Amino acid sequence: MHFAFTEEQIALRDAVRDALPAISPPERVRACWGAPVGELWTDLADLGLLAIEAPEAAGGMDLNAIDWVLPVEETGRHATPGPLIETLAAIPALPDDLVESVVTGEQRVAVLVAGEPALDADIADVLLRIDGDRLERVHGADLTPRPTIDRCRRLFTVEGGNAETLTASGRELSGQAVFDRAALAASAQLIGLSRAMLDRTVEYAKSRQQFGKAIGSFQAVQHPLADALMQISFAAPAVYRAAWSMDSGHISMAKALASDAAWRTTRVALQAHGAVAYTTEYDLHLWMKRALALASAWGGARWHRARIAPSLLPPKRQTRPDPVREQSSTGEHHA
Amino acid sequence: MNLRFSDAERAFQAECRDWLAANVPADPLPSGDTAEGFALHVEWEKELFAAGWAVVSWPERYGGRGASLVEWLIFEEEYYRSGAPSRVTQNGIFLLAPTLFEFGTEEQRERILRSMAAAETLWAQAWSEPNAGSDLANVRGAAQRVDGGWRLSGQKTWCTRGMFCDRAYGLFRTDPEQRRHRGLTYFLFPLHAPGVTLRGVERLDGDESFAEVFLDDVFVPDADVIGEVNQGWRVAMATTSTERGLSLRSPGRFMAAADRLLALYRERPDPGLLDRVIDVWMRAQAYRLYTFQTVTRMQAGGSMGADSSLNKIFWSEMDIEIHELALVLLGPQAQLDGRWTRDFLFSLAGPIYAGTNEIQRNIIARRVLELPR
Repeated sequence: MHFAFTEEQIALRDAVRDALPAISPPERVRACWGAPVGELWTDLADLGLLAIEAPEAAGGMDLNAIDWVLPVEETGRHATPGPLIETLAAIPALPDDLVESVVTGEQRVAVLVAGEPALDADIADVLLRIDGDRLERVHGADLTPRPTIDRCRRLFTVEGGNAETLTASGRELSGQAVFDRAALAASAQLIGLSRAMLDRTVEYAKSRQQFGKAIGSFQAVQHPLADALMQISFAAPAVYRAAWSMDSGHISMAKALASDAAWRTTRVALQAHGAVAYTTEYDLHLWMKRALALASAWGGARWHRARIAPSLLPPKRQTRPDPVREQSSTGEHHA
Repeated sequence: MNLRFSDAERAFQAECRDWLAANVPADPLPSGDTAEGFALHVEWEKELFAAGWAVVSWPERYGGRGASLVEWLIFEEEYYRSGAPSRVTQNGIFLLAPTLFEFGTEEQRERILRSMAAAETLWAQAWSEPNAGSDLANVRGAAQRVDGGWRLSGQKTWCTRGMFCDRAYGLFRTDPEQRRHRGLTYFLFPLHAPGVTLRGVERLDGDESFAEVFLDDVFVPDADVIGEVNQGWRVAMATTSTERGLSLRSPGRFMAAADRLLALYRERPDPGLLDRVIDVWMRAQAYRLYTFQTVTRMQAGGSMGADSSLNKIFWSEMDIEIHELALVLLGPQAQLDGRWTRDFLFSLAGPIYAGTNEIQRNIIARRVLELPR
């Protein structure tokens, strides 16, 4: 049992952490409001963010989700726009030749769940649709833009078009697996978003004066911030465990805990700031809106809890082994 | 990262599981917070010690197995999963012992630890006073220097199982000129000696195991001072950090309770509560993962620090939610005196003992978030 990241994983995170303030500053996030992600996407690709899990033959690093979970958390800290979640989810499902141009940012990917809107579908060269366990590539669909609250999240209704079954080079991924990967990436971003909102709010509470004192000296302000830190701190290990195991049940737990932590932190951040955070001039809303959007996307907390419920509560009188009792490590239940 | 138990850890887990399966009493013992139940729990503790399971993480010379922190967590998981009796030695082995390992002399460790682990000497905590609860630095109990030691006077209260234990530990003012957290000393003292009067106080669950302890010129030799004279605050804070942090409430306890909640749900399903039941089960798992992360950091030389305050709020609130849900599922039967109802009442004490959750939030705000006073 060893629950820590390797030096290489930390170094990769740090490289992304150092680069993102220039790549994804609030001005650039704002510039993506209602507009395609543009050069920012190429910058992310240049940083190598899309190549982490891609095969070496396709210009990738041939690593795993556990290697991108921290870098993706960093992108949450900066409310980085663009279809990062979708791209990372899709990469193992794509044929090598396609992956090669996806990791460089030349070609872009959109992924949707059948019946739900798709992010950045208008700029996507590859449009993937998850329909239960099926994963298909859709050509020539009609796209209708939908207004969104987080205007960086440009969502489109996808209708019509022709679907073809996707075959990657030797690796076939189910729709379910791609969905899970997206839920994991969203969880990582939610942790980063929450940490950033908490950090900003703590800084604000230290400097903002009322009644002749910093508001951060009041227990009524301190305690909700402490609670937000607690929720984030206990959600993060669940996200890291899921990235390590890639188990569907673990991913559901990660997404549920991360969504709830983000939701709570959003509310605490807004409340501690007061009216200034209820404006769009002030940057906090960039994080808040993304947090609320991602808490709902790829299955909300309640949805994920409902998804794992049957594995925890098999029908009465059935002699199926109790998943908890059978569990012999943190990595192995829901088996 | 490798979240699988190693072969050695699995072997240890199997050994724990087998021993517990063969030895845990088939019928639950009466509450360890009653005189009758306490005696039976002490017998169980002696059995645990004889088989080498009382204090697995301690060095062998004190009765332990020198187990790693991960193995200790495994033991705890197996222990609670097996439904074994609650640990009446816990305020010694989990709260006093870490202080002795850190601040005690060799002589003190030799004299105290083994008999503590063997349940030959039972230890109670004596932190609170009538006017020193959350504000522990307001201690009024005082110690006067005499030949070869000290004479303690004052009143301690809410001493868990104090009515049945042999000895206790707490803070007394040794320098009357100093105020607040300065001038306090950490003492071990007898609960049955000239000058000590005990009064039982009935708790919310009806058990009379809380003791009020009245001390009137009770002699304590120099050998029972832990750490330096007038440095008691520092010594005590090290203990409370352990209490909140890792050892007092290991994840196994809550995982077992959450599993019992799932079993209860299967018996008495209520779809309206399913979401909350799954949520709290997940929180027990999250506590486990967080703890493994912490233990990995500690094994690499890191420390708990103020993170232990996050822990304490998390498990105490989760514990209440587990038990509250159980009572709702039980419906009118929740009125009956049974395990769920008793455990629910005890869970309500969680946000109070070991430093109230309000104090923990203050600690997080000031020490972790570095918010101003």
